[in-house]
Amino acid sequence: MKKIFMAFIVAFVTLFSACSIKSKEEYYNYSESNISGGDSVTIEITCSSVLDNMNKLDSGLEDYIPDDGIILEKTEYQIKENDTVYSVLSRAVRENQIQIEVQGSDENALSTVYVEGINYLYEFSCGSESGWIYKVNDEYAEKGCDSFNLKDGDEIQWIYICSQEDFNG
Amino acid sequence: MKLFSGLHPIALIVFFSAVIGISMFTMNPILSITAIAGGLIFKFMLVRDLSFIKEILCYLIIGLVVTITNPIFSHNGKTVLFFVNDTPVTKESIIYGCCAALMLISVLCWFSCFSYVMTSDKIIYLFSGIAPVLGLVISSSLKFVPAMKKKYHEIYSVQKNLINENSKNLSKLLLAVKSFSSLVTWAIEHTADTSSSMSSRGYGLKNRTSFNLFRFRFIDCLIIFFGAASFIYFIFMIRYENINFIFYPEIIYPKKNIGYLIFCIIWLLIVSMPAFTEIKGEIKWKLLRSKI
Amino acid sequence: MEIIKIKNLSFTFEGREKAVLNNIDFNIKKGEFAVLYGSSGCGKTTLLRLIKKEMNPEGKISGSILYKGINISKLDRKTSASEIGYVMQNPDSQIITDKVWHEIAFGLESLGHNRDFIRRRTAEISSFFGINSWYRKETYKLSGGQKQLLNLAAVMAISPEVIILDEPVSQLDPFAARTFISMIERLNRELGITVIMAEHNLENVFSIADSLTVIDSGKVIYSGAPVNCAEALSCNSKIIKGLPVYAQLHSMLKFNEPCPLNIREASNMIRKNFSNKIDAIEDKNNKKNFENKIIELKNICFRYEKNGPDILYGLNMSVNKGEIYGIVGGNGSGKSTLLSVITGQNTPYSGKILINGKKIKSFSGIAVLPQNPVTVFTGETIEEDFQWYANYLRMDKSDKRIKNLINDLDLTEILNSHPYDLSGGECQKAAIAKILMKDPDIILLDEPTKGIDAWSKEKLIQILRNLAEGGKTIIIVTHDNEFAAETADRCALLFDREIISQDNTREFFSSNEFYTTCAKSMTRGFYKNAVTLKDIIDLYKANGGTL
Repeated sequence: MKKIFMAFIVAFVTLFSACSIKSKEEYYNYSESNISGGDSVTIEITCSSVLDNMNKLDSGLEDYIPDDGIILEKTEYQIKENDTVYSVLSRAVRENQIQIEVQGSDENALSTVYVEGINYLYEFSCGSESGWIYKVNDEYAEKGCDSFNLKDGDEIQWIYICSQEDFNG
Repeated sequence: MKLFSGLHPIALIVFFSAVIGISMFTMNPILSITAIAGGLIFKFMLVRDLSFIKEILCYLIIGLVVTITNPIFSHNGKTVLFFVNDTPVTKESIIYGCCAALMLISVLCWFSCFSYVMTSDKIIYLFSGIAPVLGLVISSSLKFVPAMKKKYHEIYSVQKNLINENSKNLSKLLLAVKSFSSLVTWAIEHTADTSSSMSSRGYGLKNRTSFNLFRFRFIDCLIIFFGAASFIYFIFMIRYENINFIFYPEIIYPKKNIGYLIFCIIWLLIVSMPAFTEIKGEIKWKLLRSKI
Repeated sequence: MEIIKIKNLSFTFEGREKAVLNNIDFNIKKGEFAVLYGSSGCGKTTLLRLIKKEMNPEGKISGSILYKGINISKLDRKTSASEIGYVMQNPDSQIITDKVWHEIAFGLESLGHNRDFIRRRTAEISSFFGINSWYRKETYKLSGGQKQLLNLAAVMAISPEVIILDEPVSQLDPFAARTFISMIERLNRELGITVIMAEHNLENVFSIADSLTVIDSGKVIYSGAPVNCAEALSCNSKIIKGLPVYAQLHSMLKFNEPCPLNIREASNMIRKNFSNKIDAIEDKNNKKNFENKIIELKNICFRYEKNGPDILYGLNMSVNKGEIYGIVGGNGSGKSTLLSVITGQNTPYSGKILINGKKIKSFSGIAVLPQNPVTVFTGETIEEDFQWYANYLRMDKSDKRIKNLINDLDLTEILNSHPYDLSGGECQKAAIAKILMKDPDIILLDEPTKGIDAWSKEKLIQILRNLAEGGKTIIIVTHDNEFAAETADRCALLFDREIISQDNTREFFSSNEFYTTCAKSMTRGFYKNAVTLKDIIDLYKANGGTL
C-alpha cells in the first residue's frame, strides 16, 4: 500500500512540473506582436440564431447571450504564411478574453481540431441540431478549421446555428 | 432484528430501484449527500462492525479521481482559476466534478447495501417468477462454485506434494495447470452424479412449482407503493421543474418552490427509512432483552 | 407381499463382453430391510441402479424387474420418481441446491405440489430428522454426515415406498455412519418403508437387517437371514472378511449356537465356549527394535485464523524410522490438520519439527496418500500419468522402479483405465504406486480405509507391512480401530489438541475401554490383551481349543 502511495506522489509531482501553469492575468496579457505589412484577414463571431430560439436554450445561458447576437465584431488580424482559420480564431478569442473549448486533432476521428464551444455556447446547447460552423468569404468550408489555409483579404465568419435550416439558408 | 432485510424481495427491488434510479439522475449535491449519509448508516446497521471503512476509502479515492479529472476535460465555466498548458481550469468545472463524484458515490453506496440485503434465495425467488427452472439454475451454480473452490484447494495441496513448487522455474504454473485439469475431470464426474440425483427426484416432470420462504405482508405493500410513487413524482419533477443544479457557465441553485421542497422531504424520508427502521428495531430489541 | 421381484436378471455393460450380472433372482417383501453385500465390482451397484429407472446404466438387459407387479421399464415417470428413492455413496455430489430448505423442497417442487403443502412437508421432515437448527444453512457448509442426512431427508420428502441406498456410509466417519444407519432403521421400523441397502462393511447393519443377499461375480451365493450367513459363507475366504469380527469367529469355530448378531451376544458366546486359563498374549518374539527417530514434533501449536481457536496446542509426537505409526481420534479432533503440519502445508505458529534430529525448512522425502486417492492423478490413463510423472522426476528410462511397483502392487490390468473408472481399492493401489515413485522416506496415509472393501483392506495391510520392512516409515491417520490394530506398531490418540496417549498397539488398545477394537470389546474382562480376531483365535488355541 505504501509503495502505491509513493508511486502516486512521484507521478503527480512529475506531471505537475511538466505542465506550464499560468495565472489568468498572464494568459490574457499575451498578445502576438503585430506582424507588419503583408496579409490580413477579418474574423467575426455571431450567434443571432439563438435569439429566435430562446425557448430551446439550456437554462442558465440566457444571461450570456449578447442582445445583438454578436460575440465578436468584425476584427482585422495580420496573418503569416501558414496561418489557418483556427490559428486566427484562437488569437482572436485570447486577445478578447472570450471562452473557447476545442477538441484537439488527436481526440477525434477526423484528425482535425473541432470547436466545441465559444462563449459558453456549446453544441446542443440550443436544441439537438445546434452547433458552431464557420464560413470563409461567405462559403461554408468543408475542411477542418486547422487545415484551412488563409489568403490575404479572407473574411472568416463563425456562426452558431440552431437547426439545419440556418445552415442551408 | 433484521427488519429491512426481512422484507419481501419484490418490495426490496422496487425500493432500491427507486432510490438508485433517482440518485443516478440527480445532479444535486444536497440530495446526494443525504443519500450517502442514509446509505452509510444503513450499511453500518447491517454489518455492525467497521469493516466497511475500507469501502469508504475506495469511495473517497473514486470521488477524488472524478473531481480531478473533470476540470481536465471540461473547460466550461465562468470563473477561471488558472491556465494549464493554455487551457483554463474553472471553478465551475471543479464543482461539477465534485457533484458528479457525490452522485457516483451515492449510487455505489446504495448498490452495496442492495447486494448485502439481496441474498441468493431472494434473487432465485425473483427469477423463479419468470421461469421456475431459472431459479434452480442459479441455485445450482451457487452450490457448485464453493464446491469447486474447495476441491481445487484439495487437489492443489495433493499435487503440491508430488510437484515441488520451489524446485524449478515454471513449477508453480505446472502445478496450477495440472491441478486445474484434475479439477475439470472431477467436475464432470460430479455433475454426472448431480444430474442423476435430480432426475431420480423427478426433475423434468411437467408442472414444476417453486417453493420459497417469503410471505407478503402489509409493510411490503406500503413500501412498494411508497417507492413507486416517489419515482413517478421524480419523473414529473424532472420534466416540468428543475431539481438539478445548473453548473455552466455559472452555478445556479434550483428554485426553492413548493414542488422542490416536497421532493426534498420525500427524498429525505426514503433514504433515511432503512437506517431508521434498523435503529428502531435495535432499540426495541435492547429494551426487550433488558426485560429478560 | 413382494414389492420388488427380480427374475433371471442378466446385464452386460455397453461395449463389454463379460456380463456383470448373471441370472439373478432377488425378491424383497414390503417393509423389509434388505442388505446387499459383496466386494467391489461384484455387481451390487449395477443391480440397484437397474431397479431405479432414472439411474439405469447403458447396456443389454435380460430378465424382468417388477415393482408392485409392473415392469420397471413400463413404469410412468411420476411413479418411478415419487415411489422409489435413491441415495448414492458420495454425500457432496448428490446435493443440487445451495440451501438446505431448498434441497428438501426440490423433489416436492418437481412433483408440482403447491406452496402450503411443501411448507408443511419440509417442516415435518426437518423435525423428524432433527434438521431444525441448520434449516437455513448453506449446503456447502455442512459436514459429510450432515450432507448425507440431508440427502436422505430430501429423498424422504417425496414419501417413497422403497428407498435404495448404495453404500451410503462408506464416506462417513464411524459416528456419522452410526447416526445415519439408526435413522434408516427408524424409517424402516417406525414408518414401514422398504429399505434396500448395498454395503461392503456389515458391522453397522448386521443386527438390523431382515435379509442378507450376498453377490459374488454377478451371482447370488447366499440369500437369507444374517444369522445363518456366516456358516454358509465360511468356505469363501474373500467374502467372509467383510462380516463383523464375531461372525467371522463364529464361522471359523462352528459352535452349535446361532451366530452372534452384536458384541453383547458375541461376548456371551465367548464366555460360554472359551476358557481363560491363559488370558494374555505374550509378544516375546515380535517386539521390534526401533533405533532412530525420524520425525519429532515438539510443542506444536497451530490455528487456522488469527483469532480462531487452537486446533493443536502443545502437541508432542515422535515416530521411529521403519515403524508403522497410527494416529486415531474422533471426528474433528484435528487429525487432518496434524498431517498438514507434518507435510509442511501448514506452518505452526509455535514449536518445532525435527527430521532426523535436524530442523529442516522443507523436506521432500514425505509422500501423502490423500483421502480421495483419485486426486493424485492428472492424466487420462494410469499409464500415461505414471510416464508423465517419471519424466517429471527425471527418472532414467532404464530405471526398473516403476516396473517393480506395478508388479508388486498388481496394477498390470488397470494400466489403461481412466482413474475415475477404477474401484476404490484399485485406485488406492495405483495412487500408492505413484507416490512411491519419488522414493520417499516417510509415507503418510490419510484415512486409507474410506470406501475400501474388506479384501482390498487386507491387501493394503500387506503392502504397508512390506514397505515398512523395506525401511520406509509409515504414519496412518484413521478412525478405523480394527485397521490400526492390525497394521500399526504403535498407536496414538489425538484428543483436545494434543496426543494424550501413545503406546505399542497391543498395549494401546488393551488399555482403552471404550475407544477400542471390536475384538477387545468382545473379550473385555475375559482376556487381557486380545485386540484382533487373530489374537482371539490364538488364545483359543493356547487354551486347548481346536478349529
